[in-house]
Amino acid sequence: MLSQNQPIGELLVAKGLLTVERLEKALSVQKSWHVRFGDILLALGYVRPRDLYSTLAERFTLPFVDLMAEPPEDGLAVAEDADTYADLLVLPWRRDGEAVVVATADPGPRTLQFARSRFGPKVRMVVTSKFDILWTLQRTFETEYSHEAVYGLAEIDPENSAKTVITPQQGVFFYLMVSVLLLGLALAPVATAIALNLVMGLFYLGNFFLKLTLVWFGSDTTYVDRKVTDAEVRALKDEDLPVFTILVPMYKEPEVLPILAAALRRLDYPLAKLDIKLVLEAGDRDTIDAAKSLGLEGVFEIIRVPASKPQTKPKACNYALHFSRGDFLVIFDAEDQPEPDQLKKVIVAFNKAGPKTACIQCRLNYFNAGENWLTRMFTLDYSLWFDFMLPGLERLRIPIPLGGTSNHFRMDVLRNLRAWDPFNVTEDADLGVRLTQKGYRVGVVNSTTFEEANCSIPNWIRQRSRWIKGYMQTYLVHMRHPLRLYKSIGHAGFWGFQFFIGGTMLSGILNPLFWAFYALWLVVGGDWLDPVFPPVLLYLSLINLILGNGLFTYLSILAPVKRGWMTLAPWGLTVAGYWALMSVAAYKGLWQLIRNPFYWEKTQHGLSKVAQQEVAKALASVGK
Amino acid sequence: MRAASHPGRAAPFFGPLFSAAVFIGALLLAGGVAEMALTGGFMGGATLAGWRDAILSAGDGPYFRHHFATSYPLLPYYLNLVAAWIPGMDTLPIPLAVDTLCLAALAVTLVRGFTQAGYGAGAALAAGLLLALHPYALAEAGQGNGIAPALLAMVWFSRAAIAMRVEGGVDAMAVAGGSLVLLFLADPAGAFVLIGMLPFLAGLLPPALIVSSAVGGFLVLLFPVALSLAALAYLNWLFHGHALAFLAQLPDVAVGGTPWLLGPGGTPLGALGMGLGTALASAPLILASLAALRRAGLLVTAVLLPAVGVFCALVLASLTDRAPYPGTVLAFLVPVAAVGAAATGPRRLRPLYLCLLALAGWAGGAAVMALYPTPDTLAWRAALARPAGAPPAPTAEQAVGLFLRGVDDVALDPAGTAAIIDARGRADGLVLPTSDRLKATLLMRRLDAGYVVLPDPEGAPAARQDMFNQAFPTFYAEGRDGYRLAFDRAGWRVYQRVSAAPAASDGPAPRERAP
Repeated sequence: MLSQNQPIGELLVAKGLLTVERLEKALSVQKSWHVRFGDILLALGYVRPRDLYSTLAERFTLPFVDLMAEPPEDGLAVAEDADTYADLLVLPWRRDGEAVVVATADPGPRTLQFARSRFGPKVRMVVTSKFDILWTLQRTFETEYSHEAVYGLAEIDPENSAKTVITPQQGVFFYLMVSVLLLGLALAPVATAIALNLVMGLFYLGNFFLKLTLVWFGSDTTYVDRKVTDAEVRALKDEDLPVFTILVPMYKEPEVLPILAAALRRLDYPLAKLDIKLVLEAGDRDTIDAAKSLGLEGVFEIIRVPASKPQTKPKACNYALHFSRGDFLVIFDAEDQPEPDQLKKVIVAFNKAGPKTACIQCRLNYFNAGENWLTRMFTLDYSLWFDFMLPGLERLRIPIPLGGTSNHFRMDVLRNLRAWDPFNVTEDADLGVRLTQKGYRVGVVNSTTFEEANCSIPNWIRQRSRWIKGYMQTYLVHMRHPLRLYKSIGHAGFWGFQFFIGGTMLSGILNPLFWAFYALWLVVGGDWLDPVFPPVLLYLSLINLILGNGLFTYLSILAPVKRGWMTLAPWGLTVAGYWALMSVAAYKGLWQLIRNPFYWEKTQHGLSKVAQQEVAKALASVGK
Repeated sequence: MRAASHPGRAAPFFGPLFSAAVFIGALLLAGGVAEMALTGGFMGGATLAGWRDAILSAGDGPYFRHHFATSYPLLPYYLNLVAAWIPGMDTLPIPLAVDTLCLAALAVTLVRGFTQAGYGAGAALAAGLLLALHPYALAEAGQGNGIAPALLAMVWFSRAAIAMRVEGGVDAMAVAGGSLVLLFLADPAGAFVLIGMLPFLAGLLPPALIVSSAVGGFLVLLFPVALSLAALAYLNWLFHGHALAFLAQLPDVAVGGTPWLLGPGGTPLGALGMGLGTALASAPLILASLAALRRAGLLVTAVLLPAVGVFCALVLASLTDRAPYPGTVLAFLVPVAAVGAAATGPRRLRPLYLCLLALAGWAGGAAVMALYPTPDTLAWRAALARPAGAPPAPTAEQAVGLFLRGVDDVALDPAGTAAIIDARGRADGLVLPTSDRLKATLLMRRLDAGYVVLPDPEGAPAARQDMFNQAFPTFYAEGRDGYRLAFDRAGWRVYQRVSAAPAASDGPAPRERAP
C-alpha cells in the first residue's frame, strides 16, 4: 500500500522501480554528498527519469505531465524569465480557467513562491521531468537564446567583441604605418631597412627573453607542480563541494564521445553534483544519435544548438550557458581525459587563490604523444606551453591566453562578462585576456587533461591556422585602446601581452622571411647584406640567430622532462621543422583573417590509432 | 640546504644587509690580497692580456669584431669587457677586479648555502670565507685567470647535481647544463673539469630518467655545451673563415709543464696516491661530507661523482701537460666540498668541524702550493711577501704606456704590448692592426702614424714577432726618414713622426725579397 508520506526511495522500492540494495547505497551516498535523493538516483542511473518524476508527482499528489506529448501553451512563458525557468526547473504550462498551471521538476517552496509571484495565488502545479523542462525551454526560446549567444557580448560590450575585425582607427593606423614604410623605402631605403631590421631584431630578443623568463619561473617545481597537493584534495569533504557544470561542445565527432564519457565517469567528484552538458549542433544527427546510444546517466544532458552564423564553439557554449546550473563551469573537448581529481584540485585552487581569481586553467597534454613525428612535436609544444610558460605568466601577472579546454570558471563572473566571444576563433585566449583586463586573475593548477594530438599535418595546419588567426583577432581587439589596456593590466601585463600574444603570431609570420634571407646569403655569399647589418645590429642578429634558436631548441628538449618523458627529449632537436609548419599555419591564418575572419577551421578528431584504442577501451569499460 | 636550483629560503638573519656585509668583507679580503700582490710588483700575464683586450674591445670596434668569438676563455673576456664599459673601471687591472668581485659573490653564495643548511652565522661566515678565498682561488685570481667565475659555475653545478639526483627537477637539470657551459667558457681548467665529469653525468641524473632514455638525459645536460661549441665554430667560420680558429688560443691559456702528477709519484700507483693526497689536503671537507652522508643514498652519490670528476680532470690535465700545478684543477674540488658540506648539514657535520676542516683545507692548499711551485705562483707569493713600502717603480712597458697617455695616433702591435696599452688606459688614438689603415700601411710599407711603438728585436723572442719589427726590420735600431726617437727605455722605443709626408717605403714585403 503506497502512502504519500513515505520517502521517495521507499515509494520507488514499493513500486518495484528500485531495489533495496540500491536504495541503501543511494542513502549511504546521500549522507556524504548532501544532495537531493532524486538527483543521486538519476546520477547513478538507478532509476529512469520518467519513473522518478512520476513517483515524485505521486508523492506530492500532483499530476505528472509529459511536456513532449503535451507541450505548453504558447505565450505563457516569457523570454525575460527564461534563465529563472532553467534555474528553478519550472515552466508555465497551461491555463485552467483563471489559474495558470505551472510544470516543475522541483516541486517545493521556491518554485511555488516563484509561480505565485508571476501568476498569482491561484496558480496550480504539475510535475514533469527536468529533461522535459530543458527541452521545452530550448524549443520555446530558441531564437532568444540563439541571439543572445551570438550578439550578447557585441551588444553589451562591443569594444571587446571581435565582430568588428579592425576598427576605423586601427585601419588608419595601419595605413599610416604602411605609408611611412613605403615612403622610407623610397627615400632612404638602407636607413629604413636598418630601422625595420632593428625593430624586428629587438622584437625577437624581447620574445626570447620573455619566454626564457617564463620557463625559468615555470620550472620552479615547488611553486608550480605542487600548487595543490594530494593532501589538500583529500581534505575536501564531498558535502561541501559545489555543483560543477561541465560543457562539452562537439561537432561531428561521434567517434570520440565514449572516451569523454568514460573519463567523466572516472572523475573523483560526487556525480550528483555534476551538471554535464553535451552541447551539440542541432543538425549534427550522427553525434546526437551516438550520444543517445551510449545510454548515459541522468547527469548527462544534451543541449541542441540551433543553426546560426557564426557556427563556432563559443556560440555553442554561450547557448548552453543558459541551462548551466553549477557554481563553477569547465569546458572539455570531446576526446578529453581529465585526471580524476581535477575538479577537486580546481576547487582547492579557487579557495586558495581568493575571490579575484575567476578562472583556473589546467594543463593540457596528449595521450598519443609517441604516434608520429607530429604528435611528438605537438606534445613538446604543449608541455612547454602548459607546464612551463603558463605558470610563468601567472607568476608574472601577464594575461593568460586560456587553452581551448579544461579552463574552469566561476559561473557568476563568466555570466557577468557575457562569456565567450562567438566571433573570435580563439575565444578562450580572448577571454583570458578580457578577464585580466576586467580586474580578475587567471590561475593555473597542476592537473592535466589528456587529449588526442593531431597526427595529420593538413589537419594540424587547419587547427593551428585557426589558433593563430584567433590570436590575431585577440590582439586586434585588445589593442583597440592600448593606453586603456596598459592601465588595466599594468606594465608587465602589457608588455607580456605584446610579446606573448603578439610575439607568437608575429614570429610565425617573420621567421620565413629571415630564413629565406639567411639561406640566400649562405648560398650566394658576399657582402650585399652588410649595409643593413651595421655592427650593433649584426651582433643583435647573431644573438637572435644563435642564442635565440639554440635556446628555443633547448627549451623543447627540456619540455618533456617534467613528466619524465625522456624519450621525447631528443625529438626537440627537430623543432625547427615544427616552426616551419607553424609559419605555414600563420600565413594561412593571416589570409583567413583577411578573407573569412569568423570561419571556424574544424579539427577532425579520432584520426589517431591511439584514440581508436581509447574508444575501444572506453566502450569496453561500460560493456558496450 | 634546499638543493634545488631556484633560490631557496636563507636563514632569517641572511637579509640584504648581511649579504652585503659578507660581500663587502670578502671583497676587501680578496681585493686586499690582489692589491698586496700589485704593490709587490706582480701582475700576471693573463691580467695584462685580459685588461688589454677589455680596453681595446670596449673602445675599438674592429678589435672587438676580431676577438669576440675567438677569445678563449670567452666568459672572462666578456666580463672584462662589461667591466671596461663601467666608468672608472678602466683605470683598474680589470681582470683582477672582475675576479675579486666574483670571489666575493662566491663567498656570499657559500655563506648563504651554509645558512640555508642550518649553520649559524659565525660558522657559515668563517667556513664560507675560508672556502671562497682558498689559496688556489686567490692565486689563480691573482694571476687574472678566469677561475673565479668558473668556481661560481662549479658551485651552481654542484648544487644542481644534488637537486637533480635527489629531486629530479627540470630546473636543476637546466642549471646543471648551463653551469657546464660556464665551466667550459670560463677557464681551460674548467673545460678539463667538464671533460672529467662526462663519464659521471649519467650517475647524477635521476635513475628513472636514465632508464627511460639515456640519450634524452645526456642531451638535457650537454646540449648547452654542444650549442656553445657549435656557436663558437659558426662565429669563427663567419668572421675568420675557420671554424676552429678559437682553438688556436688554447696553447696560450693552458700553460704547459711537466706532468707533475707522475713526477712526485714516480709510478702510476704513486701518482694516484699523490693526486689523492693533494686532493684531500686541499679539501678535506669532501671526505668528511662523504663519510657523514654514507647512508644518505642519493645524496652521497651527488656529492661523490662531481668530486671524482674533478679528480679525473686533474689526472687528465696533468698527463696532458695542461696543469702546471695541482691547484689549477683542485680549485674546483673546493666548491664541491662546500656544497657537499652544506648538504650534509649541522646535524651530521657540526659547525666546529666544518670550520676546522675548512681551515685545514686552506692550510693544505697553501702547503700544496708551496710543495709544487710554478714561476707564476712563486712570483705571486713573493710579491705578497714583499714588505710594504713605496710603490714599485713602473716597468719599461708601463713607462711607455704612461708616456703615451696623452698621445694619439699611436701604432703598435697589441700582441706584445699589453702592459703598454694597460698603462695608457684607453683605446682611443691607437692605430691597431685590425684597422684598415694599418693593414694598408703594412701592405704598402708606407708609415704615416704619428707614433710607432717598437720592442727591441734583439731582446725577448716575442719582440721579433712584433709586426712592425717584421715589416721594418731596421726601424728599431736605425729609425726611419720622417721619424724621430721620442722615447727609449729598457728595450722599448717610441718613434714620433716629424714630417707630414708618409715615411718612405721600405720596398717590397720581406717575403717578396726572400730568396
